[in-house]
Amino acid sequence: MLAYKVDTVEIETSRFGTLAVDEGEVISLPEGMIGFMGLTRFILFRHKEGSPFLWLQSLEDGELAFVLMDPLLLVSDYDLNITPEDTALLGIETPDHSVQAWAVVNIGRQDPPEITANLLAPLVINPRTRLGKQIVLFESPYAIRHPVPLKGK
Amino acid sequence: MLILTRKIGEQVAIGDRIKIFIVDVKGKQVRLGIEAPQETPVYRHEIYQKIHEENRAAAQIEAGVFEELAERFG
Repeated sequence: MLAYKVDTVEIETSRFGTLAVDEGEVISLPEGMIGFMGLTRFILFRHKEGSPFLWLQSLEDGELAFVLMDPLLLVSDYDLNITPEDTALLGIETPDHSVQAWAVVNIGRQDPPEITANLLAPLVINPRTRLGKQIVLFESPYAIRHPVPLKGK
Repeated sequence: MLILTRKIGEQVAIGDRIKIFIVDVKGKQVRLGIEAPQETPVYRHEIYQKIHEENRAAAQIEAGVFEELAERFG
């Protein structure tokens, strides 16, 4: 019976209660998120069915989670320039190999609160290797706080 | 802090695995080449600092506050 548990990770989180995660679903960020070095194992899941947002939950710190979104929803020609070093780190074999890029979402402290997304330092994930890195884009026109449009109020 | 004077084309070694090359100096700008192990991220400090702060703030998002705003995307 225990054998079934071996490939499952359980984490008590502050936002989502206890999560049971398949080892195969784990996303590995060898360098961690910037400012959170040493925390390398995460799970990524959609905020809600049909929502543009995702949660990136740490599997090593139940209180650590980030909201992510697809930068293409904000800038339709969003472009990534990944260095050869990062390409190697992520295990990208061919230049056209598809990667996922996610912008880290933040909520400002102003009233009413505004949502922004960090387009300068996307989390880039190779879905095949499940390896990721928060990459700081060089010589980039993108903002750390790109406004996320909200309807109403 | 250790302060060294170097010329264009010279290097500084930090330990066995990190090398900094002085590539060019133009007026007040210095171009550096940096060789470091893959697991040692190298960033421009002021950008790194801003992203660090942004990540720290982003990690504080409360599910409830976010929930309300998330509904209004578009």
